[in-house]
Amino acid sequence: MTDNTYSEEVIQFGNNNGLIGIITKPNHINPLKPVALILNSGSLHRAGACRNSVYLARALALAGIISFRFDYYGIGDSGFGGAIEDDTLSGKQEIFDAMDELEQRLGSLKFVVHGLCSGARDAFSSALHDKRIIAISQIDSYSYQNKGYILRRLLSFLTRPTAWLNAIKIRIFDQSKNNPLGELNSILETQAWPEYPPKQEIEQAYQKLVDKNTKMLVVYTGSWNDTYNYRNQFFDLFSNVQFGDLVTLKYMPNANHVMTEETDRYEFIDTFKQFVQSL
Amino acid sequence: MQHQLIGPPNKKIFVSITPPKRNNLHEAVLLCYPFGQEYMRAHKAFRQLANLLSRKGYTVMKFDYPGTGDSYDDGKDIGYNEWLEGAQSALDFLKSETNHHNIHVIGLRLGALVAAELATKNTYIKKLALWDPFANGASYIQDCTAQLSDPPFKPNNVWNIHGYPLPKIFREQVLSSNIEKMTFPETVNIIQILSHENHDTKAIQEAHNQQVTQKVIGPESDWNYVDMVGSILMPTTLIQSIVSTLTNN
Repeated sequence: MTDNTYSEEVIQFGNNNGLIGIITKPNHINPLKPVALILNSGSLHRAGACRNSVYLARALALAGIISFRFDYYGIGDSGFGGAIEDDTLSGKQEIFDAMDELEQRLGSLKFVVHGLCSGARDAFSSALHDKRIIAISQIDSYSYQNKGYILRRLLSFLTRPTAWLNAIKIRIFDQSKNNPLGELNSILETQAWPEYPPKQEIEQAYQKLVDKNTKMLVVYTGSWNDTYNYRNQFFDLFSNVQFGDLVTLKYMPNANHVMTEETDRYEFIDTFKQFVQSL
Repeated sequence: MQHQLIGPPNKKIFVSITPPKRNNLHEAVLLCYPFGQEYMRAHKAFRQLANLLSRKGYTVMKFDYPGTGDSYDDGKDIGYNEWLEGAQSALDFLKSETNHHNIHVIGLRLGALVAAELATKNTYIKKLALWDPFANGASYIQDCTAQLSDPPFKPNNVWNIHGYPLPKIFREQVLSSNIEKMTFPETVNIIQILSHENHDTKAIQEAHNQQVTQKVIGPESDWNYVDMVGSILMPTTLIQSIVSTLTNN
């Protein structure tokens, strides 16, 4: 896709050219800025939920930033195969392959890796193992209930009579009815997430990122309210890590996980652009 | 696999061709996606469908409509007619790349309406498979309206359907698309493959009784179900049925 400001190119790479991705290249590239890698989220292909990855790539191009959105093996239009990582924090081989390819094609040596949900965790784990990743962006990544979370949840519950009523209704409903989606289960492929590693392990990993001076944009949405419910919870969760000025934290309690509202989507895109411009 | 962006510089659409994996039948299949969150939820199912068809010897092509997926534009002022032009470009490209004389088209939901439009205009289309189709644009708009939680008055009158823009021009143009009123070449074999029957599928069956065969394969696919975390639909049995129907008919 081309207009006056950028062009797009489909490329195939990896083993037997089994991986597919799209480079979005501005006509006027800012050579000082890293290339943005935009990762898959769960089973969703490279366009992203609500086409957010496409909107992000094209908005970055308008700011002079090259991006690459691609599919892992088994997802979207990429082929079958690929390795299953030994552990959650070992990094995805496809991300390393993508950087190798872009290094050859564009001479890029610096990358900022962005992901939503499982993609956020992939960005995190890959950055632990590759010095070319100078920054990561995570939407709805690791979070754990802590004292601050529980206190706010309890207060919110106690001060809203409707919450009491709903809780009672839900209990009655659960006892009296089967899962209304039960009939669909055979064809509905839901996202199944592996259990998070213990918080201490993630905290140590964040310390490693700090040690290698990795900049981080960390975003949580209102959909993550099972484990995250206040602005600075991230810093409280990982209070043993001296983040300094490496973390840009943004809390979007009114946004949902896939950012179906255009205003939320562009609020994030603007934040991401500013983040990359600051690198 | 061949993936590329085709078309003029500022109107490129994404196409993906899967060549036959064995016993080349010298026939091709064009797959027409649905719209919006249904497109995302069906993407993996289309991947599986393309793979199974290619194993049967077909060349299979998928493409993204203008304003969707990896194709051009942000979708906020794309009309349904532009979708039809994009679909025709994809079909022309498939024909010129393969030089096959037998081409079949499969469309899901709103994509079925697009596929049907293609079958009325291109006499080399031999089989038209309508997968859980809308019978007409009005039915589609009605379905969208039912899904809108807020009154559909958005900036520039663009509706937001679960995060996907549906502009006024699209809504107006799609209203003129109606499978019941379409006239198909006699050579087209129309197959309805359904997860469940409804008013739309019955209307199509009644309108084209002589030309349509129908298969109902459960369980019911709820294309409107949205969980905001990106779950997808993978109706494996139905996909296998599409493949066997296309191959055996």
